[in-house]
Formats: sequence, C-alpha cells, structure tokens
Amino acid sequence: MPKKNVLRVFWAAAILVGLLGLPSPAGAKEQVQEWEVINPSGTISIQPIKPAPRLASLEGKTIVLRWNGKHNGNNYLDRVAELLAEKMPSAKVIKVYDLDKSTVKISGSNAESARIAKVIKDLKADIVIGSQAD
Amino acid sequence: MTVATTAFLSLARSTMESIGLADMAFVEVPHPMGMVSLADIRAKADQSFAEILQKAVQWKPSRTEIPGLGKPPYPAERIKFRGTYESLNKMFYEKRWSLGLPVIPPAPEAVAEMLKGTSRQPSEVVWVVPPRMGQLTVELVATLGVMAGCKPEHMPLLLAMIKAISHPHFDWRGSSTTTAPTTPVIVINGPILDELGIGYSTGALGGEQPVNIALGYFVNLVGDIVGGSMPPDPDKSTLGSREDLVAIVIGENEKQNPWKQSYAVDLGFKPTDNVVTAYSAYMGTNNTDHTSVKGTQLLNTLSLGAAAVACGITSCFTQYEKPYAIDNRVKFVFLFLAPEHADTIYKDFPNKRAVQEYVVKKAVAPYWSYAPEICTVPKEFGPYDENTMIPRFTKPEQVHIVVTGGPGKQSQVWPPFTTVFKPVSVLVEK
Repeated sequence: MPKKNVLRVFWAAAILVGLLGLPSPAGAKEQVQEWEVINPSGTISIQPIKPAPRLASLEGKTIVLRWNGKHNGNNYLDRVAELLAEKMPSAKVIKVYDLDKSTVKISGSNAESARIAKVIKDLKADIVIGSQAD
Repeated sequence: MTVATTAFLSLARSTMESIGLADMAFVEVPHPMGMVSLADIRAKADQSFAEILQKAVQWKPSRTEIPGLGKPPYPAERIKFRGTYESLNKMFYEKRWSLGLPVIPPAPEAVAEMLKGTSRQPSEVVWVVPPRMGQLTVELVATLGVMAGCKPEHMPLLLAMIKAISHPHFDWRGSSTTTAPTTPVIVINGPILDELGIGYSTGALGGEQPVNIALGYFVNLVGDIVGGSMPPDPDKSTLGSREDLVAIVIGENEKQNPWKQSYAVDLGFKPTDNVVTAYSAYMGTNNTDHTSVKGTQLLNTLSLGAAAVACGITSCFTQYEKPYAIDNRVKFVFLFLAPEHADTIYKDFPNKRAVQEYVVKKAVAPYWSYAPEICTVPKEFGPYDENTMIPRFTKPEQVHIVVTGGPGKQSQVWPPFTTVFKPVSVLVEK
C-alpha cells in the first residue's frame, strides 16, 4: 500500500476510534457521587412583636382607617366609615388619609413605616383598619 | 386589621410575619379592588362589613410564635447529598435554593477559596434580606458567588453591591414583591472595570458578558434565596421580566466618554475610585436615533423616552429631594448613552449640566397622558388643559448620564421603581 494511503487509513481509523470513544450526549449517564454543599438560604432574623390587646367591643372606641394609596382603597374605606357610623354610632371613626395626606402611600422604607405608624398612634387609635390592594 | 384581596392575602401574611407578627386579623375581599367602578368597590365593602365587625372583637390568633427563629447565622449548614449533578440541581430548585437554572455547587472548598477574596470575617452579617429576613453573612456572599460563577477577586465588588442594594433608598422589599417588572440596575465605574473584565462596550447589557452576568446572577440569587422573593409568593410580578434571573450590571465606557468625566466623578468620587451605583428600575426603553446630527435633535428623542418610560405610574413635576408620594413617583431617569450618541450630544453640549437642563426642559407629556390622580400641577404653572404639555422633572440632578456600549446609534433610558428615593453609590473597598 502506498505510504499516502497508509496515512489516510490511519487517520480514518483514528477518527472513528475517537468518535466511538466519546460519550453520546443523548445517552450520557452522569456519575452518581457524594456531594457536600453549603445551604445558601441563611437563617431567619425576625424580632417578634406582641400584638395589641383585643377589643371586647367597638362601643365608644376610636377606629382609624388607613389607606396606602392603592386605587379604590379610599373608596372602600369611605363606605366602611359610612357603615360604622350607621351601625356603631358611639365609635369615633377617623379617616387618616383625609386628615394627613402624607400617610397616603406605600411607605417604601422602615423609617417611613414608623413615621406613618406614629401619626396613627398619636390619634389614640383603639383599632386600625387598613386597606391593601390591588 | 388589614383588608386584602384574595390574590394578595399571601403577600400580606408574609409581610406580617417578616415584621415580627405571628398572626393578625385579615378580611379577605374578592380580587380585584383596583380599577373597578365606585359602585363595585362599595358593594365589596358592603359584603365584607359583617366580617370586619366580627373580626374587630372576636378574632383570635391561630398561633403566637413564628417558627424557625433563633438559629445562628454562622456557620451555614453543610448538606451531604448523593446523586448526579442534575439531581443536585433538582434538589436545590425544590428547596428554593436556585432560580431553576443550573448553579455551580457551593462546595465548602470552593466557598473557602472565594472567601480568600476578602478580609471581612465570614461570620459578619451584611444584610438581613427582606421579605424573608434571611441573614446574609459574608460566608453566604461567597456561597452565592460560587453558585453564580463569580471568582474570589469579585468578593469586594459583591460586598459593595450588597451595601448599595441594601440601602433604604433602594427599597428592596417593595422592589422584590411588587407586581411590576423591576430589576436592580448596577453601574460600575473605576479601574476595576478592566481589572475584572467587566463589560462596558459592545453588548454590555447583553448576554455574552461573563463577569457582568455572574455579578447580576449573584444579585438575584441573594434576593430570591436569602430574601425568599420568588413568584407567585411573595414576589407578585404580574409578568416579570427576564431580568428576574440576572440583574442589570453594566460598566461605564469611561474611555469613550466625550466629557472626559465619568458618572462616578460627577457624583464627587475620584477617577481612581471603584464605585458601585445601584437603584431598582422599571424596564427601560431603547432610543434608536440614526438621523439626528445635532445634539438638540438627539436629546429631543431621548427626552421623549425619558418622559414616557414607565408610563402609567409617572408623576409630573417630580421633586428629587422629596420622598415618594402618590404624586411624586419615578423621580429620576438614567440615560445609558452609546458613545456615538454621546459624541453627537457633546458637540452641542460640552458640559453635562447643560444636557441635564435640556432634558428637564424637553421631557414633557400632555396632561391627558398622565394616569389619574398622580400628576398634581402646581398653581404657579398657570392654566392648563388636557393637551397642555406638563414637565416630568424639575431639577437637572434628576437626569443621570452614563456613557456605555459599543459602536452604533442605540442608547437606553432606564427609570426607577416608584418608591426608590435616589440611586445609591458606594466605594468598592478592597
């Protein structure tokens, strides 16, 4: 066999062996192995807070209505205020969103949440009813 | 007591828990409350009023303690797992430890190698990430960095990014639980760009930027895994965006900035400082202006984008120094100017201040295009009607200019999420 043909046969065989030796992607079997990994989620840090005491009755209580600015929340609470006036006339109902426009918002930060909470606290609320969304 | 709709009750409950309440009184109203008629919303109040009265005086908590508290943040738990790489990734996804894409397994050896990139103690808690309130230690920064494909030399940058996005001005909680498609946008300036191979030229915001992608993937792993903000709860993204996978991380093309002064230097940093600037953004829009030859012409088309992007939530006459309010939303805008666009502008505006002033003047929209209730026109503006053009901004500082990208006539305009106060810039500390 001429030298040129010998080389051709050699390279053809080498390529074939190489191809056969490669794992087929479709039929690839991964090795089962032992892994050690770090749990990436992190432990939770929450400072528990004590809820306000429950009320026995709404008679004569101060009820503060808080709107966060989401569409129609004020309209919902306006109707709740009407119903409270009708069904619980001894209660004092305060629409903080009418009283202090700066509270009409999603706070956006803990500091702003605390400020809004203080506005409500200063109204001496016995109970706060907030409307969320959307 | 909180009134929430069926679709958002779970978010309300998770918010309650994250502030430390084990339980509280909820009144559930059929979704939606927003964008329905006055008659419909009053009917919903009528239907739920009896429950309001009942829960006001008779409600009792179903539990008094939040489970799972009190575990130390460091060292993080080590997990043994037998299986294939594929099954390991499946386990991670099922435990909500990944976003569904494959991650690099955070083996203790790989994490130890990452920690060599910082002198900070691995036990240090750098952020308690809302809404889940997971404690992010330096060790976990390294862990999540490994998972995202970051390298030890990225550690100072990862820590700087965390410092920026955890700042109250960013409003991480709101950004990561909103129905809107928001993404962290992180702009990097300084010599670190070339030192780490951070993309700032052709395709800087695209896919084939391994360092930018790894950094952006890291940010979202932190938010979703440690912060726990995944859809459908408590991440309430209506549609979301693919940036929920990889946050926007971009370098400034300082070499091709015609003003010869980088964005960070505009803010008062030195040219040799490495600086990270971050804010939470609504999706941006592209400016494809191929025909403007004057700076004013190009700024006119860019101003249109600045006025219109994030439509529906933008206020008019926004005040930069005042916090977010119902009529002070989306208070600034970033212009990511391609170098060719920057050159065109520079010819007519040799200082950036004049660019900012021009955009403030030209970023206007007709009154009818503002959503109801969120555009309050000041009395001193004078008379107006539905077709009067009303400005979006009031101060030059509200327009932020970053030169980035490669050849071509494409720039981008990226607005902030509604409750963002200002962008946050921090030094990268080695």
